[in-house]
Amino acid sequence: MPTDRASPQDDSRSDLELIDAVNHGDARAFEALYLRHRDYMLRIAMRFTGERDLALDAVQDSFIYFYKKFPGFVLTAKLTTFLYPVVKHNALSLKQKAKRAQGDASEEALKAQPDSDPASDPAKADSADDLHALLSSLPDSQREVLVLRFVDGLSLEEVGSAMEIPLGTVKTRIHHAVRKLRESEKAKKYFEP
Amino acid sequence: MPHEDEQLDRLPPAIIDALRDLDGPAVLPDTKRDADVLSGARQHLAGVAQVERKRRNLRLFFAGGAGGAFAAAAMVALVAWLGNPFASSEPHADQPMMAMSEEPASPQPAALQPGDLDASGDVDILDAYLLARQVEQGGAAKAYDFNSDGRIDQRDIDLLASRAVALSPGEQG
Repeated sequence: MPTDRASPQDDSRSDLELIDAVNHGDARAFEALYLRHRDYMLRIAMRFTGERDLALDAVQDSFIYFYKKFPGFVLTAKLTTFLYPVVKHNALSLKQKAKRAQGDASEEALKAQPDSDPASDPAKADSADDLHALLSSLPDSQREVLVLRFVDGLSLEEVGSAMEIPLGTVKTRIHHAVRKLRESEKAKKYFEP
Repeated sequence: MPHEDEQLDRLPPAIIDALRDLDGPAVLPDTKRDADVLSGARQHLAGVAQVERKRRNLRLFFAGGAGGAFAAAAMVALVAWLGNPFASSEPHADQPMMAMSEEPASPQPAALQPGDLDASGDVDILDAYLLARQVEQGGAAKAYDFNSDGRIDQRDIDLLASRAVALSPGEQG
């Protein structure tokens, strides 16, 4: 039984087994799921908020939403792909709310930061920064697909499930993003054999 | 030019590194938020565990103690209710699901919900079981004629059971 286990952090049960236990009211199983997925979800939230406090809030809200799904929660794909859109939605909502609250003040503060323009600092204008700028210039939807696929290591199907888009759309976005990178002066050298 | 599908699986390492850099430094978790989430979850799941215990006890009771044809039939009905709460237990279109008969012989205290036979504060599957026992013994009060057909029978037990399941925490995923 779950109570025999040493600590939720070391729980070796699969997500599916843990979810089954949570459906029967096992709070330690939920804790194991929380500890297993919290850090990745924080990373996701940070991508969309850019601020630690907002990211922490988004993840907290997301896990509260998650435990309220029990009992009766059925996992139909990887848990990551269930949590991803929840965290993303909460992160974007919180960011939007914060932006509204800050009003124009934040924009002025951003403009006042001299280091925000890489071109103003010759030391930063190296190839890595070129790449960062290029990747940042991709449409959010294309960059998001690339990050999920190549940084987070999700399969194409999992990317589609996490982003709630069809597999064909995932492929199309990757093709478009890669084509832009290949055609770019800044990045095409990396594609040469 | 590589094959198109190759793009879906491979990207130059320098570009992957640059994508990773966009994430910035890792966010350290916050102990207070962890505690808040986990204590909220414990509280919520304590309720889930309570319902689960009731259901388990009921199943054990039927499996071990009651015996006889009635218990077997009731067990089958209960399994059906738990698996598909709303199947074949819809009230008649012009009757509310928990409508009481107009002149109940032994009205329940006002504070209790209709159908809360054991006065536990909730209408749960145990109430359905109690009603089943009363029907079996022929002593069910008219107040439990939930479908107002003038009889207290299996249909009323079905209605009460489906109501009990509908009241338990949400089914979603």
